Amino acid sequence: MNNDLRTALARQHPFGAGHQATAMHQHAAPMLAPTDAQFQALLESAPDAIVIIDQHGQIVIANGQTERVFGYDRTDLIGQPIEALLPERLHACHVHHRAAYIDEPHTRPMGVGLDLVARRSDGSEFPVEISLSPLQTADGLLVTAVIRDITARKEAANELERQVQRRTAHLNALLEFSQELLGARDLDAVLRRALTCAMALTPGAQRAGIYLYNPMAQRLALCASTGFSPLLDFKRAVDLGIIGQSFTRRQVLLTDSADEWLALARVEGGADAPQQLLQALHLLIPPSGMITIPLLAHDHAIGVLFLLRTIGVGPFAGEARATLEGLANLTAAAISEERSVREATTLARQLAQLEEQQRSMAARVTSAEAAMLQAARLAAVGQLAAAIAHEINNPLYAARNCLHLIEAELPAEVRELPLLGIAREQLGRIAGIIERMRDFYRPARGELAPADLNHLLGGTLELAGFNMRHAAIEVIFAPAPDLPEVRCNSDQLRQVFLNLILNAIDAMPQRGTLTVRTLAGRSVAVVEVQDTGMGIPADIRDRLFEPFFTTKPTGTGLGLSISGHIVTQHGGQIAVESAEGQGSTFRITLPYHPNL
Amino acid sequence: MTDQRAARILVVDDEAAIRLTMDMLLRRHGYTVWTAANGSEALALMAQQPFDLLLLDLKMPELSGLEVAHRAHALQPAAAILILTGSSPIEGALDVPGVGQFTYMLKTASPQEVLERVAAATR
Repeated sequence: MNNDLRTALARQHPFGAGHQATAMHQHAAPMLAPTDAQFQALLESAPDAIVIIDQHGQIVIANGQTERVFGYDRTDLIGQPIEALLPERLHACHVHHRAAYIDEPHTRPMGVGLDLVARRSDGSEFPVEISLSPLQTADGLLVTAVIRDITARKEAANELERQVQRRTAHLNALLEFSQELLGARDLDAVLRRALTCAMALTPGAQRAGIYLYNPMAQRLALCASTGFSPLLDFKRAVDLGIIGQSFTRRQVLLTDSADEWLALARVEGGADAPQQLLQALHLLIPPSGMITIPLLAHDHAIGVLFLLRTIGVGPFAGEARATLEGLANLTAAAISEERSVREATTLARQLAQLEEQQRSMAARVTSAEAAMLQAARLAAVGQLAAAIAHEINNPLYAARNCLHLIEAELPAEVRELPLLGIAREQLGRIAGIIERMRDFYRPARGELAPADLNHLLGGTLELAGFNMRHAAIEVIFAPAPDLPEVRCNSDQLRQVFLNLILNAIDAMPQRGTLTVRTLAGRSVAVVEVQDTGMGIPADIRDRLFEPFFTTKPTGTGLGLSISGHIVTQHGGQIAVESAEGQGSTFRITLPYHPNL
Repeated sequence: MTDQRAARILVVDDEAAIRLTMDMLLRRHGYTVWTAANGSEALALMAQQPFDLLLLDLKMPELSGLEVAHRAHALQPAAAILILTGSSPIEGALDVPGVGQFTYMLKTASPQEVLERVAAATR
C-alpha cells in the first residue's frame, strides 16, 4: 500500500462520512502514520465490507468482511469490475452511474435513502447501504465503498410496515363499524354487524357469538351467533364457564390451547362444564384458541362477545385484541343506546296511556257531574211536583168524598145530577194526574237493591281521585269492616257521595285531608265526609240544602239540595257539622231498610 | 150486612175535612165511625174500646201512620189496618218486616174504591 493511500485512509473513518473523520483528526493528538501491517489489520477488523475500486471500476482491494458477506475469496474479486457484486439487471445502469461519479467524485454517505441491492456469489440478492468516498492519488482516482448488509434492518422495517397496515386496517374496520351502527335499525342488526366485524378482524375464527344479560331471568342469553345456530332461547347462568367468568369479572379472557380451555372450563363450571359448552357451541373438540370480551356500558357488563378457533396453534387474536375490545365497547354502547331508546319509547307510550286514562276519568267526572245536574233539575221539578201532589191529595180526597155523598143523596130527577157526575169524573182525572206525577221523584221501580256502601264510596273516591291530583290532598278512607248492606238506589247514592266529596275537595284548594268513613249502627248506616278546609259559617250552614243556594261563582246550588232529597227519599238524614277555619263534616244516616 | 153487627171503624187523619167526609160516607153505609186527629188520640181510643178496622193516614205530625199502626196492632191484634198513602209503597218495601204486614191504599183512590176496600176488610 502506498503512503498516499495509507494517509488518506487514515483520514477516513470506516463507519462514517469522510468530513466527520477530518474533524476528528484535527482534534486528535498527532500520531505516527500507521504501518502497512496496521492498515491491513484496520481493514480486516472493519465490520462492514470495504471494497476499493479504481477509476475503471475494477476492484483493487476487498476486505475480509467482503469475502464473508459476498461469499467470495478476495483473489477472485481483485481485478473484477465492481458490477460483479451486483445483480445482472443493474449492471448497465451501474456502469453509467459509475462513469458519472468518476466525472464528479464526491463523498456520498450511507442512509441517503437509495434502495440498493447486492448479489452474493450464490446469486442471492440482499439489500445494502453503501457509502462512497473518492481518493485522488498519484495513480488516479480510487473510490472506497463501504457496504452494509441491511437485510435484518429491512426485514424489521417491513414487519413494522405490515403492522402499521394491519393497525390501520383495524381502525378502518372499527370506523366502518361505528358508521354502520348509526344506520342499524334494531338490536339484531347491531349484533349481526358486530359479529361480522369481529370475524373480519380475527382471521382464523370459526365461531363467534354475543351473549346478552337478561336481568329478569338473571341469565345470559345467546342473542347472535356466527358459524353455528344455537338452540332456541339458550340461556346460561352468569358464572358458568369462561363466558360467565368474563361477564362476572368484566375481564377479557384468552385461551391459546385446548388444554387451557378445558382447564378453565372445569375450574369454574365443574367436570361437566366442558361437555355442556361444546354442545352449546356445536363443537366436537375443544377450541384451540378463544377470546371472550365483556360488553361494558357505563362500567357494568351487559353481555359477552366471544370468538374461537378449533384449528391452529399459538396466540389467538393477538394484535386484534385491542381492536376487538374497541369493537365490544362500541357494540355495548350501541346496545345501551338502543335499549334507552326503546325504554324511552315505552315510557312515552305509558305516559300517553296514563294521560289518556286521566282524560277519560276527567271526562267521566264531568259527565257524572252533568248527570247530577240533570238529575238535580229533574228532581227540582219532581220535588215541586211531589210537593204539589201532596198538597193536592188531601183536599181532593175530601172533595171527592163530598161529591160522592151529595150524588148519593140527590134523587134521580134532579136536573143537575149529571153535573155532579161530570165533577166526579173530573176529580177522578185529577187523581190520575197526581198518581202519574208521583213517579217523577221516586226511585224508578225495581232499582232498589241491597248495596255495599263501602264499595260505592271506594269507587266514588277513585273517580274523584283525578280531581285531587293537582292539590296536595291526603285521602283517608276508613270503611267500617262489617257494614251491612243498605237497600237503596246505588246510582243515586253514588251521586250524593260524589257531590259531597267534590265539595270537600273544593273546600281545600291548596292542601288538606279528606276523610271518608262509614259506621255501622244497629238499624242505620252512617257515612261521614270530612274536610280540613275553610269551614262553613253558621248563616250559610242553615241554607246549605236550599235549592239554587250556592257560594261558588260557578255553582248551580243544586248539588246539596238534590243530595238531601235523595237521602230523604231513602228514609235517611243528612246533616253538617262545621266551624269556620276548622273544616266540615257531612254526615248521612241511611236505614238499612227504608220504609215508605 | 143488615144482620151483622155494624163494623166499628176508627179514622185517623190530621185533616178535618177528611175526617168529616169519611165519617159521613162510612156512616151512610152503615158503619160505626170514630175519628181521631192524631196518633195519640187514636191510641187512647183503642185502649178503651175495640175496633174492627183502622183507617190510618200515613203522613201525620208527631207519630207517623206506620208507628201508630204498630202500636195499634199491639193493642188490638184482631183489628184490620188500612194505611192511606199519597204514593204507593216502594217496590220491595213490602218484603221488609214491619211494613209488609199492613195493607195500603192510595189516597187517589175513588170513594167507591175506598168503600169496597173497607167492606172487604170488615167482612
